[in-house]
Formats: sequence, structure tokens, C-alpha cells
Amino acid sequence: MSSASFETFFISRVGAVLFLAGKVIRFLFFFVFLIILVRQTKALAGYDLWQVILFYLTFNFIDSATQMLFREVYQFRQKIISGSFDLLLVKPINTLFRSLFGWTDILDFITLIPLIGMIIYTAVRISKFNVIGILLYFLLLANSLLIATSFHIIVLGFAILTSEIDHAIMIYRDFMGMGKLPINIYAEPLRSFVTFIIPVGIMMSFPVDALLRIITVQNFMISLGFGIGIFTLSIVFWRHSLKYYTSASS
Amino acid sequence: MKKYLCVLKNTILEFLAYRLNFLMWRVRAIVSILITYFLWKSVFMTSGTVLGYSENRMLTYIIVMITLSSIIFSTQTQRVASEINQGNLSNFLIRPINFFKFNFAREAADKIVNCFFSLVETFLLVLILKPSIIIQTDVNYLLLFLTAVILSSILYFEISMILSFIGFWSHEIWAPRFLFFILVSFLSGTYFPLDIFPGIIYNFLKLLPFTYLIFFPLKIYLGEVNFWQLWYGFFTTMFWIIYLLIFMVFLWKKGLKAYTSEGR
Repeated sequence: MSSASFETFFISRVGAVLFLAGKVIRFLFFFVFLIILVRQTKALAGYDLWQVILFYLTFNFIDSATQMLFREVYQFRQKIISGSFDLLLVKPINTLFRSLFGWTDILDFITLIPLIGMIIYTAVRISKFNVIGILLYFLLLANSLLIATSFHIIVLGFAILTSEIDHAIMIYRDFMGMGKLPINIYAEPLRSFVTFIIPVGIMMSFPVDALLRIITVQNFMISLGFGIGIFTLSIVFWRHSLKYYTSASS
Repeated sequence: MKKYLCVLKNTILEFLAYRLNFLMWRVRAIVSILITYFLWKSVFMTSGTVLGYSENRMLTYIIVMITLSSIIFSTQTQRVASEINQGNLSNFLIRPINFFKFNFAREAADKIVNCFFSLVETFLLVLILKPSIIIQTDVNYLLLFLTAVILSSILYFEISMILSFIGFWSHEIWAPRFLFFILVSFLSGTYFPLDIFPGIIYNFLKLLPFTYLIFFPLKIYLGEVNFWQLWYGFFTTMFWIIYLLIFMVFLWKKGLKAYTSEGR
């Protein structure tokens, strides 16, 4: 499936290059904006420029990795309203796996490589971490991807129940966009809401907090508990929603 | 005229037909306001003035900017590109309607819906968040602001239609639009006010049409334009509207010659 997805890149090369250019320019515009802003104020919510950059890069890494893996979700609605989801159900492959990972986006994959380099460079510039911090950073990154997977599964289930997906996935992405910056910039009660309810803070801010050695044991445990909990819940919801698939239009 | 009013009415009803879709779309708009608002609020916690703007001027700029963006950048013209690519344009060509007026009616409907809900949402958020913002009370500035918003909506309609006409020659219709929108967002002043740039860059930006989509109406709202700047701004906006209108019609005529009704 992944190699087939990668081959589609070469079918519309001009479009792919323009999309890639758009993604890079969008990243750079906000990056420049952040630098101008934090240089003016010296710090943002107590974080210096390099720390703010690390939050932004980590957000972009999680966001790009999620989009690279789950691009198929964006096409799921069409399968439901046309009834072609039937064809997936009868295939000897796990339907959820196929619906989630059916299309790997090479454009996001390309952006991941320089992002990883920039994260390493920024982390070295900050030089405020140790081995445990790095391990916790990776662990919480994996946890963030698990939560992202869960949200995409919930969106799939939601699509079966309501035929709605476009805005649901975009709302997810808009909320995640709040994690471009340290979650501490938001005032209470919004901060708690976007940390534990949505949970942008757990996904985007906690990994960086772990690397900077400012995460509390309580937040670390909450983060892992939330990841496992929402993943379990998403699987239950997916199984529940499958029962309501009506195979309309097929 | 009556048939275009019908198009306008039907487009509004289309929005309201998919209510869950509509509700979620509005939630997205609110999230967008919250992100930008809290970012700037946090920035001003440590500094009284940022990029030459005081807190109330900047907060006014970003709140009005978000409201304006959702009105001016809302468009139905992306449908034109798909209609060309799928051959559905043929349905319009055989009907006794003017294609541009038809699309303008769809566009107007989109803007009416966006304008209504954006204003209500902004009003509610201002009531809840109580930001220190500037409420413009000078009727002259308000009338000029309204005129600038109408002109910038026409300008964006033309730009967006021209982008959709790429469909006559290529199937790559989404990528150029995506790239273009990112550039327009930056160059129109949605990231930060354009007058923070060095003089030479700012003067160059004033020659482009994008400055007049968001930044120029906002400066009028803030009451920060003198007579000369007003004259220059409206003159340049009108120049681009006329120039792009001619270019849009030229592309349409050229495009029709290339159109093969492929897909029908």
C-alpha cells in the first residue's frame, strides 16, 4: 500500500512539488513570525527563543507524521456515501488498518527528514537535557502518535455514523494547531481544557517538557494513562459504529 | 436579476442543509480566533509594545483581521475549477445565465453567511474575553472601512476566479490554490501588520493587490490612514480590480477555446 502511495507522487509531479513548496513556505512563514515575535519579547510564557522553537518543531514533527500515516482517513467519507466501503469489508485485510493506513503521504515523509535534523540541532543548542529526558521525549512522542491514531479512529467511526468527516478532521487539526506554541500561553480554564480534555498539551507540550526536564511525574503518568485509555475507547467506538453501517448507495 | 437572487438564496440554503457540517465549520472559526488571541495576549504579558504596536491596537488588529479573513477569503469559486475539470461547465454554458454573475451570486451568499456568523461569534468572544480593543466610532472611518471591505471582496473574487481558470489547461487545480493561499495569507497581513517591515519592503508590498485584501481595510478601521494614504489605497485597489477584471475575462475567453468538456 505504501509503495503504491509513493508511486502516485510521480503521476502528478507538478502538483506534488507545489504542495510540498506550500507546506515548506507555510512552515517557514510561521517560523520567521515566531522568531520576530520572541526576539521582541525576549521570552514567551517563560520560554526562551530556542525552547519555543523546539515546541514548534516537535508540533510539526507529530503533525507531519500523523498526516503521513493517516492521509487515507481524508478519503473515507467518499467510501461511506458511495457504499464502496463494502469492498473493504469483504477483503481479507483488517478493515480498520486499511482505512487508516491505505495511503501514505510521501510529501509529509519528505518534510520529516529535515524536521528531525532541526529538532536535534535545537535540542543541542538548548543543552538542558539528559539521557532520561531523551528517553521520556521519545516515549511521549510515541504516546502522542498513539493518541493521534485514536482520534483518527474516532473520526472514522464518526464518519460511519454521520457521513461527516471533512470538518471533524479539520477541527481535530485546528485544535492540534494550538500546540504550535507552549500550552502555558493559554489562560485558565482554557489551558486545562486544551491539556487534558482535547488533549493538545499532552500530545504537543508534554514531550518537550520531558526533554527540558520540567515535566512532573503526575503529568507523565496522566499522559500515558490517557494514551492507553483513549486508544481502547477508540477501538470500542469503531466496533460500535461498524454495527450501524448501512451500505447506502451500494 | 431575479434568477441571481435565486442562486444566492439557494446557496445559503445549501449551507444550512448540512447543519452538522455547518456547526463544525463555525467551531473551526472560533478555535482560530482563540489561538491567535491567546498567543498575542501572552506576548503582551511581558512587553507593553510589540513590533511598534500597543496591546489594544494589536488585539484590535488581530480580532478584526480574523473576522475580515473569514469574510473576504470565503469563496465558492474553487467549485469552478472542479466544474471545468469534470466537464460540468457545459451545463452552465447552455443555460441562459451569465457565468460571472452566477458565480458572483454564489460568492455573495457565502460572504453573507460568513459575515453574519463571524460578527456574532466575534461579538460573543469579545463579551466573554473582554479584550482591550479599539471600537471605531467615527462614521467616516466606518463608511470608508465598509467600502474597502466590499472592494477587497471583489478583488479576492477576481483573484480566485483566475486561479480556478487554471482548470482549463491543467488538472492540477488544488496545488496552485493551496500554495497561492499561503502566500496571500502572509502578504495580506494575517500573520502580522505589514507596516512592521522595513520601508523598502513595505513600499513594494503596497504596490501588490494583496495588501488591500486585509491590511488596508484594517488600517482604515484603526483610523491610522491620512488623506493621501486613503487616496493611494483606494486608487491602487481600483487599479487592480479593473486590471484583474480584464485579465479574468481574457482568460475565460481563451479558456473556453481550450475547453473540451472532458468527463461528460
